[in-house]
Amino acid sequence: MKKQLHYREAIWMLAKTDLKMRYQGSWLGAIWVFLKPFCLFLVLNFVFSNLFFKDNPTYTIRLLVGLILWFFFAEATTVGMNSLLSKSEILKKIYVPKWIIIISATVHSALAFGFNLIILFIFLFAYNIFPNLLHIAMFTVYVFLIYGISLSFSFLAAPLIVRFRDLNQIWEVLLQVLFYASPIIYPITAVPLKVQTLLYINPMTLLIEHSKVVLIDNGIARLDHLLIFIAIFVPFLLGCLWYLKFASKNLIENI
Amino acid sequence: MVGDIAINVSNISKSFRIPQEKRTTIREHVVGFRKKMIYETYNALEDISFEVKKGEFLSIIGRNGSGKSTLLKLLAGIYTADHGSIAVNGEISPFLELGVGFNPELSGKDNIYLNATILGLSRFEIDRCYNKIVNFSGLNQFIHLKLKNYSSGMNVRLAFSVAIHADKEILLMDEVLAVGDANFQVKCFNVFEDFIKEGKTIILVSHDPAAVHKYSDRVIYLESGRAAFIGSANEAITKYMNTDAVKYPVDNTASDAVRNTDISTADQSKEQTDQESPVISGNLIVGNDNKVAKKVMIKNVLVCDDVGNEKQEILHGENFFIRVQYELNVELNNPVFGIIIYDQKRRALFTTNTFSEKLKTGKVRVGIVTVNFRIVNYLSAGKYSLSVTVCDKYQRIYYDWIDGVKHFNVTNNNRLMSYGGVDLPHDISITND
Repeated sequence: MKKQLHYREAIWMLAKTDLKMRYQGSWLGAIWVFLKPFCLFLVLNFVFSNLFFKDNPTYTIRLLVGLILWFFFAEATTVGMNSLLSKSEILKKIYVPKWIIIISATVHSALAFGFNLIILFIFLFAYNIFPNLLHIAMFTVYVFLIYGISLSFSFLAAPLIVRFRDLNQIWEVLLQVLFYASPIIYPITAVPLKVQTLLYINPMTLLIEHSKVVLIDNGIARLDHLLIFIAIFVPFLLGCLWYLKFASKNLIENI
Repeated sequence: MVGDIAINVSNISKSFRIPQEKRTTIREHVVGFRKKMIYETYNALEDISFEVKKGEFLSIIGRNGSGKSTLLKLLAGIYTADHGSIAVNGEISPFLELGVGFNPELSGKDNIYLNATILGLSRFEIDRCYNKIVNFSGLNQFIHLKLKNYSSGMNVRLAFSVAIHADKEILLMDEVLAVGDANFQVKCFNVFEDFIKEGKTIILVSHDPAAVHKYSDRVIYLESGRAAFIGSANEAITKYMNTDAVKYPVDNTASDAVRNTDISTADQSKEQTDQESPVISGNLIVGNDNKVAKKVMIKNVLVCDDVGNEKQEILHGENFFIRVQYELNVELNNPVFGIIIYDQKRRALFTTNTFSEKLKTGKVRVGIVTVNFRIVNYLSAGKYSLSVTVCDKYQRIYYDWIDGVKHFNVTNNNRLMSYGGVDLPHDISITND
């Protein structure tokens, strides 16, 4: 019990250091957390809502939901993947469980996501959309699943990047591909049915799509799909944890 | 595990695979897909077993690359052993480096919290000893300054202060002792001795025999990845000092050059062994028959007693003689004859020559000249090697210079041990009022 408490403190301490480092000396400070996704949102909204989706009154808010969730995923996976390498100076000198380093690196992404949620809800209210508690609860499940996937991926990629240093370049490109393969800038109904099935290979598709349903359409997304998703996710998470444990054995001498 | 054992290490081995061609990117892996990866295996540690009792002070000594640090990293859990197991009974504070995680952009205070957290303290524990840490470091007025504005000395002091307050039952230390200014060092050593008094289990990695000897209950002497010796500090250090000689090939290879009547071997051995000795120049003469010869040559060297019996072992305190025969092919005006005695670490412990002793050698005629050095043996016990030189009166031109021309041992039956280079005649008296 005491140990658990201490791990939590260690994660928070490392995360806090990261936060201080990230925003110290920057003029706008933490405002960047909002600005980065928001600028992209404005651009995309301007382009697409005027050009392609004029007849969709909720396009803007749908885009925002998708973008905020996507940013969370993209950020968390990127920093999670690089976390072990960037903390190599510590890891070489002292034993720290690797998952602590990885989780602490993603704390920033989670916090940034939290801030972005505030914006999202302001927009929702502005659009006169008031999701009820059940909807919020469902949305929370989706958010946790996104965080879970990001962490699982980081558990897998963080030791891998020690051996394959160009993994971050590859992941950058893949993220671009996945971005367009997720229903963010377009509604999933805009693509043919066959392609839709294909898109569901991308885990973000389901989570973004379901989030839109519960937040904007005030509906309940298909629970059977969610259960299948979880049934795949749990073994994936366990597999990634196992890999992290396995790879940790000879990790430090190669870092 | 038995209750009084802090660490039990059984049969651990660790090897590193070093690829001959390092591939760190997927591109390199794809491009080099057909070529098989060739690895060199480097056995850093082989089959090491030992136990550390609670409250024991264990030191690990060994030369660079003998596996000391690898062993420490295994104990700290940073590396995982290939074979064997390490069982630890209690919490470990590893001090492989001071100030792990220190961030120059954060204030001293933030760094204390960060470093202490990494060292395994909870927030509550840090809050409790925060003031003690700051006071010990003596940085009270700078504690809110960013670390990048600290001098390196202040940095170390802060790091050390955190480290000693983050102590658990078992401490792993990697030569972090010699830090800070003299004042601070005294403080450090006091703390260090407090740890010992408190009965903490300490494992120290060092190659400083003095520190090892002062504190250790037991010593592990590592030699290229194997535990060559585990036992008392005295024996381990003696072994460490003696095998150390292997490192300096001078002593062994040059033993061929003892009877150096042949110029070429003498020159070769000199080239191989000593880059520092001055270039022998202006020494060649061309005779009537066009034969090239040296002006002066060291013909024969003898380490002996007063009647001329050669000696390998010389007792401490007795007189011994170094008898050098030079062969002169030309007449020389005031040449300088000299000797140097080196210890195993290639420190020149003693040098003398006819010039420094204000001895005028005058005109030395062609032929054999014998120079006799009488020495009272105040060297400490150990192995020594002898160099012999001859140069002109301005000590600019070295006619001949042979390193490692002779080797001898000094033994001292009156003392248990001696780690200094010399063993001066002395008394110790104690008064206790």
